[in-house]
Amino acid sequence: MTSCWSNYHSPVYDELIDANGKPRDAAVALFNYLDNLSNDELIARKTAADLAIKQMGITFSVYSEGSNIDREWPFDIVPRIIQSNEWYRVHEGLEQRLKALNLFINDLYHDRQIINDGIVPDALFASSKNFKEQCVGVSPPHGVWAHICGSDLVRDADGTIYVLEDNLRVPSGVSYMLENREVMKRTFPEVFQECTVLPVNDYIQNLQRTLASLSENEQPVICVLTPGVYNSAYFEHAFLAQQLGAVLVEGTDLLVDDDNYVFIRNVEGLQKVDVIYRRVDDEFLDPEVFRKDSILGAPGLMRAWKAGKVAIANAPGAGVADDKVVYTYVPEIIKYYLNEEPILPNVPTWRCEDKDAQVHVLENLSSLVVKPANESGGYGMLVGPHSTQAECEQFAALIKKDPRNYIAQPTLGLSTSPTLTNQGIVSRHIDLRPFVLQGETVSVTTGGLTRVAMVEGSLVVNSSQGGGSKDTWIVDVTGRARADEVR
Amino acid sequence: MLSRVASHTYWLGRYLERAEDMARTMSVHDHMLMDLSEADRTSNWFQLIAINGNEKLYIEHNGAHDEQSILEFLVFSQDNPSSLANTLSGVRYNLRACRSTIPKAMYEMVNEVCLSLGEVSQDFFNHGRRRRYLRNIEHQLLAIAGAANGSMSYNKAFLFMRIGCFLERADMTSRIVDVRSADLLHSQTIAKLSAYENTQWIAILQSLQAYQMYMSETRRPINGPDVLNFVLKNFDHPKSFRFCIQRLSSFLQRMPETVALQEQITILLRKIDNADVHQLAKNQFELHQFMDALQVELGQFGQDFTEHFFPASEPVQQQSQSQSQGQKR
Repeated sequence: MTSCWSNYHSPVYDELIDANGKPRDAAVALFNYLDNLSNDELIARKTAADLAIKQMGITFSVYSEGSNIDREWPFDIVPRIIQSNEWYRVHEGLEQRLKALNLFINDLYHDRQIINDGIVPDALFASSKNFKEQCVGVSPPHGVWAHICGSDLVRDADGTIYVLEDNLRVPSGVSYMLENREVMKRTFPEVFQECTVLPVNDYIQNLQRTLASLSENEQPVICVLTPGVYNSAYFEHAFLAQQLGAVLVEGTDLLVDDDNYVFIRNVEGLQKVDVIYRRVDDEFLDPEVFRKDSILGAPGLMRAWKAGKVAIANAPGAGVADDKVVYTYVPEIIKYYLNEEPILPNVPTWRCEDKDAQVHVLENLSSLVVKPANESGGYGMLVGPHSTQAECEQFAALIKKDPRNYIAQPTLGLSTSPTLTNQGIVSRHIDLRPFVLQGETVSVTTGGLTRVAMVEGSLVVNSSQGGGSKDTWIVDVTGRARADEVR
Repeated sequence: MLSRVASHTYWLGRYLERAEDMARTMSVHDHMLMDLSEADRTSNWFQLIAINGNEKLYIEHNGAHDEQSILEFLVFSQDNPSSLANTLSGVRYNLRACRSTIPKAMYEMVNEVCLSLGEVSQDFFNHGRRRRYLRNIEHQLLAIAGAANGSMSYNKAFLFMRIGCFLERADMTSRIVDVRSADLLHSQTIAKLSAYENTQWIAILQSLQAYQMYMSETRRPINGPDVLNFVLKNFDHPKSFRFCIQRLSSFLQRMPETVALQEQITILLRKIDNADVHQLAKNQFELHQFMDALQVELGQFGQDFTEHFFPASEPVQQQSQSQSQGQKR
């Protein structure tokens, strides 16, 4: 039997295996375990994991697939491992980032000191799709606008972890993080015996605590507002509602009365709602204020929110900081509000609206990644090294036409992690989406959702574009917990 | 209905419930330990012995605290009257004796469960296979409960079987609360991580499969007093102690000459209703004493119940724990 590792090779930084082909400290137990499994056994585990995913009903929906809207969640059975002491630093960096972003959003909708002080330009918001006039002057509880943030992290060839983007609107994926762990426990129970994998399921308690902290009611009625069963993240909406003990509602289940209270229509009559965890975009939230044709929200929600009668997470308008041009200012934002150095670096980014930067970007398109400022899900972007001449020309035209809407970044050598494919265990590029919560306090998931590009050499990890996912292990190798992680 | 047959139906209900509870407790335990550090994992297998109420016997018998010895004792051991093997043979023995009162389809399902243990043997120490086996057995037992509810007349035999079931379940809930409320974490450093907050209370909910219902009813993060309130006093959750006792009460009302027994139940209900969950959650020793008192009274009730309805049957060998009462062969 040849070792499953004998042909393993990564062109860049690998999360589990170092440059000499040896497992990193936190990965030793897993490395040895997999080494002792025969290929047949490995495939049997993969089959067992796929079956578990079917049985558990872990799905995501893909638009435009005709009648077959639900797909099983694509999952790779080889976990991605991060050593706990490295993770604690990332954890601090994420907390710092969300605190600063929330101070920033709150400032934008009130005194705009950061603009008056000349740190970020006013023009940025005049042109931002996600800046909502209707939210100016509103003071949500604790001054927090983005309660749930999913930040995408990547590791470059030199081992540095960068923040790639911050998702502050309706970030999804956390249910898959939790379910991936369940599937792993079912598939590889023995490996958990060999090392200390920190648990992830405190997220639900933290989310409940965060949402509840937005209401004065001690046992608030919390709703998860979903666009409905056809939404790509419906599985997640249902999962979170079930775990939180919240009510899963659609827009038509809600009613706002003349006194600006929000109710759900129960069989017993109306029941007052305290907190809405909405998974519907701002534009669809309230036809009285935003899109008039929306049936996904409920008329009057904005009135109720502004009057402080209901809390909405994330707050309407929070998406203003979820803009790839705003992203480029985050290091300054952290220094400005917290008077601290950023713990986690940004990826170096060119703003196409700056003349010099635009020239540089247009000259180097074939080596850069170009992204629209306000898209998510990996749509509408150009990966220079993997693009044709025609695609580059098309993007050059787009950038010239609307420079404000584009940023460009160097193509990072996204780190890899061992992944099971038809060719055995091979390296595939990955990223990481941790979830950060802020209400009365701030908390971070233990690890997050690792997404993996299943195609060799590909850097696109989005599930809507054929990406898969992995369980993410924060492994305690020291047996020592960090002092300020202690409650 | 013959007193002898009623007795077997009652014990069938108890053994079936015990087997289901054991299977569930073991798989939940397995699952839970995966979240703990290495040191804490090894130190916690003994909890399973404590939940099944045979610490003393186990120490005499073997005493090793490792996974394999403990599972061997809990699942296969002939010396342990409440091992899964003995529980299932208890099921079979009583099933035969009350065969005429049980719907045929249900009889077959029960028989199938009893046979399944013979097929696992040493496989049981393989983690993955154990998980599948325990899951199967739990599902089969749930299906049997469904078959009883769906195809048996709600007659005397049904009442005796359900009384056995709820008595056993109340006993199990009280044991789980007693044992699982102890701190799971011995390595103090890791115990302070926020990820491990309230682990013991979460463990109680998971062991009783009450996590989801707790969250939707309580609408607060998991905490000691709320968990105790839910698993001891809740009116609607089928694993709550009060729910089980309340069911016993309503079953008894449909049986002849049960005034004295009903009085015992009323006292138990009052005791639960008056319990101060905030105080109990704070003080592990008080909680232990309280749960102990509930178990003693429940045990007494079980004894009085059997003496009242099955006076002719051979005396049940009295053991320290009501769980290990009466193998009845």
